[in-house]
Amino acid sequence: MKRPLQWERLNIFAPLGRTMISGVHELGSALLFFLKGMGLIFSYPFQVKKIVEQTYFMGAKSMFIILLVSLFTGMVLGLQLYYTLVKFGSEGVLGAAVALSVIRELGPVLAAIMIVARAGSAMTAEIGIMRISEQIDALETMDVNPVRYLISPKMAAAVLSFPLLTAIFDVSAIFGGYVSGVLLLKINSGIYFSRMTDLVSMQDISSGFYKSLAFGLIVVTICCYQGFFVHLRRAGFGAKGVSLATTSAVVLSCVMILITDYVLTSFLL
Amino acid sequence: MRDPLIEFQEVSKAFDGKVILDRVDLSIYPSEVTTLLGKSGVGKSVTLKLIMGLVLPDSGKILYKGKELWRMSKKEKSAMKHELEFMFQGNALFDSLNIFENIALPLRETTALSQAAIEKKVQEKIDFLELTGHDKKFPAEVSGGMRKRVALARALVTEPQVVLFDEPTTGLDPVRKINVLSLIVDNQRKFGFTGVLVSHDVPDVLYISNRIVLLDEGRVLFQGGPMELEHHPHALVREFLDSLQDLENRVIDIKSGRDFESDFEASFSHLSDHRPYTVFVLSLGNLSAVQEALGQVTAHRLIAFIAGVLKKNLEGLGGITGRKNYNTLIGVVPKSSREIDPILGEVQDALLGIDFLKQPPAGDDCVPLRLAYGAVQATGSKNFQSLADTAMSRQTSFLEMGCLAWTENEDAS
Repeated sequence: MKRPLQWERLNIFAPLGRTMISGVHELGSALLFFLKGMGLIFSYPFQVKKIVEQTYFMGAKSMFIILLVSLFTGMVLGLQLYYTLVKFGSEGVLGAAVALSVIRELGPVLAAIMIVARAGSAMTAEIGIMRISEQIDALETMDVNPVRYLISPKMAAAVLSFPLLTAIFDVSAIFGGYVSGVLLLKINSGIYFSRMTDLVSMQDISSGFYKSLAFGLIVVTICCYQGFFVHLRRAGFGAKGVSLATTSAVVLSCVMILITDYVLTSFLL
Repeated sequence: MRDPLIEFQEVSKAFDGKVILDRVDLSIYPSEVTTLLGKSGVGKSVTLKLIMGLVLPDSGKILYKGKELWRMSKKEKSAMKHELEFMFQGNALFDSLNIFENIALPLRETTALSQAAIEKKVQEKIDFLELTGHDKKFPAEVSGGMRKRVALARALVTEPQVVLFDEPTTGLDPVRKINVLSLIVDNQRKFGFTGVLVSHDVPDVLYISNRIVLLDEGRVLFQGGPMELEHHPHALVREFLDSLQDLENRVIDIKSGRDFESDFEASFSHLSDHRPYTVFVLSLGNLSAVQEALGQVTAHRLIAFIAGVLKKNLEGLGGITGRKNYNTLIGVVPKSSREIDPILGEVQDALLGIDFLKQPPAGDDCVPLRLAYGAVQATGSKNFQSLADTAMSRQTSFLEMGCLAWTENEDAS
């Protein structure tokens, strides 16, 4: 067998190229997985019960954590912005500043990260365990499409849950800003809300809505994909593979949320 | 000639460079039970997964009803999957669904049956497999054997044309194992499905199978009827068929027929023409009757006792002992047949002093003990089988003890 030459062994471009090719392959595979999952939401018979169940799990059960995080986010934002605005004598716009920060940026991003932590990791682990215990193979042998049965309801639930949870986050954070600005720092409550309604436009609200929708689709695709193809991971099999897949799903989802946020913001501004 | 329902043509499959199946040709015929036998890791489960399309072959063709699997249209593949059901080795039950929902799943997802019809079919299977009262439990809440039966119920609930069973009896107690195997046969007779079974339960599966496929080292060693298998000379076939007796031989610490023959070839076949040796057999003619009257364990202890006495007396003389078959012990000593008479006398004395069997009070179950002996003297290299056959044919009564029964003296032996 031909031995590799010294320069071939030191060639850093080969592993880089391999990583790139594998990355592109993975991206294409995830895109097809997403398209298949989305398409099968509309296949007959509609899986209304499963979609409702998944929406309950992803949406209703995430409500408490979303309310808690959003309330304190709004309160901190109220405090920080008050001490900045008061230097310019502009504390009257506190309500608008809190609302714009939350509706345009913090609401969609933090709500998405919270859902990843609570529901996304659970989705990856659930699907991963189903894969390693041959439950997904069992569906295939029964001629039940596993993407339709397992993934599509989760995708539909994400489309419904993310914008709704973001809206709840926004309202709760604005209330948090109200608590610290109006109740604790004694800003006039009429000014807090009137400047908000003056300065927040429908475009701000819809940009937040588009972002949450995009985050929902990205998160559900990454989390389901990582679990569904856990058996193809080279780094670990069985329980270890599932734990690595769950970690990857959470990290990748958070990174993708922030990257997508920047890209969408630059287009939607 | 019948056309096979499923056919493998030169199918090969390797995982990470390790060849599991190497150009395998095998045929599965309709309305028959075909059992895949072989040691662990020889590709039996992979064969089933190849049929189901869960694993792709590296080369070769797999035909279902004469059509190549990978050339089937989506519609044809879907139709095929509706005809096939698979029972996984690890059960593959849905842990978030209860037992009833697990069994009902294929009906709910792949048929247009009404809720009432689904419930009726599922309940039938639940009752049939003794799962009544457990239908609301989750798989994690029931025993391993019960999970196996749930998987079996799920495989049979759609009344498929072909059922692939991957070790359906592993982990079951002997009573339920027999129940599951008889259930497969009963359902097969009732619905006429084609069954493909991976099992290690020899000889039980031989009774329920129409065809046996024996796999080893990636190749098909044998495929044919169970009776053909019994007469197949390959060492692995013998190993499988004698596996139960092999365990008993190991417990007794006596060589199996195969091992005895190899030891004979190694130690005696090269002896010079001037050194005689004697091959003898000692048969317990009514061992089956002993087993029936006094039980399997008593019969086992009787054989162990006789083998122990023989070994003790022969080993010091450079002889070897083994088990020719179920009720016959075989030995060879580097002595003439006349010289071994005193040894046989000692064996006789020891047997007469047997202390875990006794003369029972009148009316108790008892059985006579009848031993036959035959020997042949030889020199030089001789065919072992013909010597053993000659010794068998020369058997005469060696020892007869009247009516014996088991005694509670456990330590006696």
